[in-house]
Formats: sequence, structure tokens, C-alpha cells
Amino acid sequence: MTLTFLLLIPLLVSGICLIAPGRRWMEIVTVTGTVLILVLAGFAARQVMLTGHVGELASWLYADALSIVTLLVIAFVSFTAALYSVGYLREDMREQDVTRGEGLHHVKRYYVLFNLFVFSMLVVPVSDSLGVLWIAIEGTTLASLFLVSFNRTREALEAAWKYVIVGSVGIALALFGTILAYYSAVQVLGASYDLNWSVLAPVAATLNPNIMRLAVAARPHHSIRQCEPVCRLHLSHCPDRSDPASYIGRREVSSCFSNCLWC
Amino acid sequence: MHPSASLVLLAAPAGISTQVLQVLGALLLLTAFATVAARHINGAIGIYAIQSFALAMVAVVVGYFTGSSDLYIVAVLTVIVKCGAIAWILRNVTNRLHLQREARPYLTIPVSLLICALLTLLAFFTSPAVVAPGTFLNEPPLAISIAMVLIGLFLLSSRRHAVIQVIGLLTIENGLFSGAIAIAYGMPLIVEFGILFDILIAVIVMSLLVTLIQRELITADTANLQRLKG
Repeated sequence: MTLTFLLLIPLLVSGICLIAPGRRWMEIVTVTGTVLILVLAGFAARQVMLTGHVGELASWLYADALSIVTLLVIAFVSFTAALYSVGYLREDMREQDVTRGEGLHHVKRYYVLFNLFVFSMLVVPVSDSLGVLWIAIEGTTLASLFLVSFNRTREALEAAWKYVIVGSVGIALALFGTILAYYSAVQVLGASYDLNWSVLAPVAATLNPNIMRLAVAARPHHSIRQCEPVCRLHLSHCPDRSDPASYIGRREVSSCFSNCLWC
Repeated sequence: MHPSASLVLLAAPAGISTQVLQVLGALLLLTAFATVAARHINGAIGIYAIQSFALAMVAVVVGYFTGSSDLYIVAVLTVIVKCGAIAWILRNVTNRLHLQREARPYLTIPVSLLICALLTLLAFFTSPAVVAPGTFLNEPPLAISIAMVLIGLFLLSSRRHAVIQVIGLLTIENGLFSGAIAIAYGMPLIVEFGILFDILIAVIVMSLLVTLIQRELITADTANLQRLKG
């Protein structure tokens, strides 16, 4: 149940922040929540080392070594960001009354969205369904949008607008990639199968190489949030050296990894 | 349903269904052009609603001749979310922006239409190459979906008004949805739910942002968002 709890924590913390009476509360639950996430990610890593992969919630959640690497990075960054937010937000709002009214609302918005953002980021590496993965990536954009425009200044609003447009276009292209991946799998497995990594990986060598290549190419490489799914698609795609499809996969794995390191 | 049966159906669809699909595909493409040609934002929103309705009809027709009841549900949800909620939200936002209801393109409308015609040609020219030989894919639906994506991107990059940019984004998404239905009979139902819900949230969030921008800048003209440059 490690992965399930891992995802429940940020949701719960976000809910607590929504009804929290003061700033102190939000700071404590947010930092505690991210510490717990980091610990649970460690547990999940141990489980994966022992068994190779973890599947939970009727195979909605799935984690292998690659997802654990991403998961640990996300958990660690969330933890440090939560710590940093405490001091930053206190300094930022030093001249405002944060015990009630507009000031409290402002702080509350920050912590609620912060935890929702952490939640949607955590869903990305542990989701087994490509569809849910896409939804979670879109979720990260939407959750962080009002964190970008947080100060409500002209520059912040401009940055938020550019962020949402660029992000949404990138994600729309990723949806195209998801649809093509689904289409190539439909040809092998038949209509309305589950759009899952664990279903795709065993048949990876038989998928139509041209369509899969386009599906992968349609996912923008230059965004940190989209590197991980691309990597997984590449990896699931090259189980067999003799197959032309896996050849394409192998050639692009190296470029993909360099992309990820660059991110 | 058995996989091979569905593939046979797609390879040789019943005559009347193909014709209906072709008409709907033409309607989708036509509405994409009409959003580019629209002079007023409310007009563009209305056209978007018609486009979404045509998309729902595509889902119904494909659902009818593949016998998949999921697509009927998708069609109903599309009508409720896109023709209903999203169109209503966008219209509300536009009405709140007292000034500037015209589209204000960077390029004139005839030039824009010419470029969109070229983009459509490009889509029809390239889409056969996308499909590997020996597959059962009908080419025109994919070409139409790619053309809609390109027109949406064009709308996004050539218009200044924030609401029109949102409509460009929604056109891209409609194109992808129609592509998904035409080539893969739609995605698994739960994924379709999630995507529609996501789009609804995205439109709500963007509308809030447009309202904030307008309050701060007294305009929804994105040409004024010029301060942050790399």
C-alpha cells in the first residue's frame, strides 16, 4: 500500500491546509507531509529492489526502477521546496496581516496549490495508465498556474499566461502521442484494451514501429515533466535487438537519456 | 467485441456511415476555418460549440457502426462539457471584458485563411506517410484531425486576444479528439472522462487568469504582455 499512501498524503495535507485556522498549521502539515512522502518513497524503492516492481490498486499504480528514480527526485525536491517555502513566504508577506482575511486567504492558496502540485507530480511516475499519466501532467500545469501568478503583478500574470499556453500546447502534442501509442496497440491487441504500460511492454516488439516512433516524437523532449514518460516508452520499446522496432528504440534511448540529464 | 471484427468493420464500413462521417469531417474542417474567419469573439465561441457538436456526432456514428456503447457516453459528455459548460464560461468572460470584443488578428483574415488552406493541404499531403502501409486506417479522418491541430496552432500564434487563443487551444484538442475517435475508436472511457474534466478545469482556470489580466492591464490583448523576454 506504499504507493497508495504516498499519493493520499499530499491530497490529505492539501485538504487540511484548506481548513487550517492559521499559517503555522499549514507550515507544519506541509513539511511533515513531504517528509512522510520522502520516507514512503524510500520504502517503495526498497520494495522495488526486492521484487523488481510494485503494482497496487488493481494495477492502476505501477512502479519499476525508473519510476522510483523519478519518484525519489520528486519527493526530495518537494521536501526542500516545502522547507524553503516557510521562510520565503514569511519574508514575502512580512508587511501583511496573515491571521485573517485576504492575507490568510493568500497563504492558504499557496499551501493548498503547493500540495496539489506535489500530488499531480507524484501521480506521473507511478501511474500505469498512459491516459492517467497525461491527465496528471496536465494537472501539474493547472495546479502550478496560480503559483506562477501568485504575486498578481503585471509580470507574474504575463508569465502565467505564457506558461499555460506553452504548457498546454506541449501537452496537446503529448495527447497526440498518447493517441498514436493507443492506436498502434489497438492494432495488436484489439479495441478498448487498457492503455497501460504493463500491457504495452510485453507486446512492444510487435507494435508498429513507424507509428510508435511518431508517438514518441510527438512528446516534447525539452520539458522536464515530459522526459520521464518518454524514457519509459523508449525502454519498454526495445526488448529485442533483432527487431527493427527495438532498433529505433535503442537509438533513441541514448538521445533520450542525454535529454533527461540535460533537464 | 472481438478485435479482428472491429478492424474488418473499419476496413469496409457501411456505405451510409462513411458518407455521414465524410460530411461530419468536412463540417469539422469548415468550422475550424470559420473560427479563423470570425470577426467577433462571440461568433468564434458559437462556431466552437457547433464544432464540438459535430465531434459528438462523429462519436455517435463511429459508436453506431463499431457497436461500442462507450462512444455514446463520450458523445453526451462532449455536448454537455464543450457545447454547454465551456461555451458558457467563455461567453461570460468575453461579456465581462467590456472593451475589445473583436478578434484583432496580427494578420488580415484573407491572408489567415490562405495560410490555413495551405496548412490543410500540408496535412492531407503528409498524413498518408504517417500511416504504415498495410494498416486499416482511413486516411481522411486523420488528415482532418492533423489539419485542425495545425489551424489551432496558427490561431494561437496569430491572434492577440486571450479568449481567441483559448479557442485555438480548444480547436487543437477537438482535432486530437476527432483523430482518436476516427483511428482508434476513442480512448478507454475513464481516460476520456479525465481528459474532458481536465479541459473543463483548464478553461475555468484560464478564464480566471484572463479576468485577472484584464483587471491588471485593462485589456485582454496579449500584445501587451511583452515585458518578459529572454
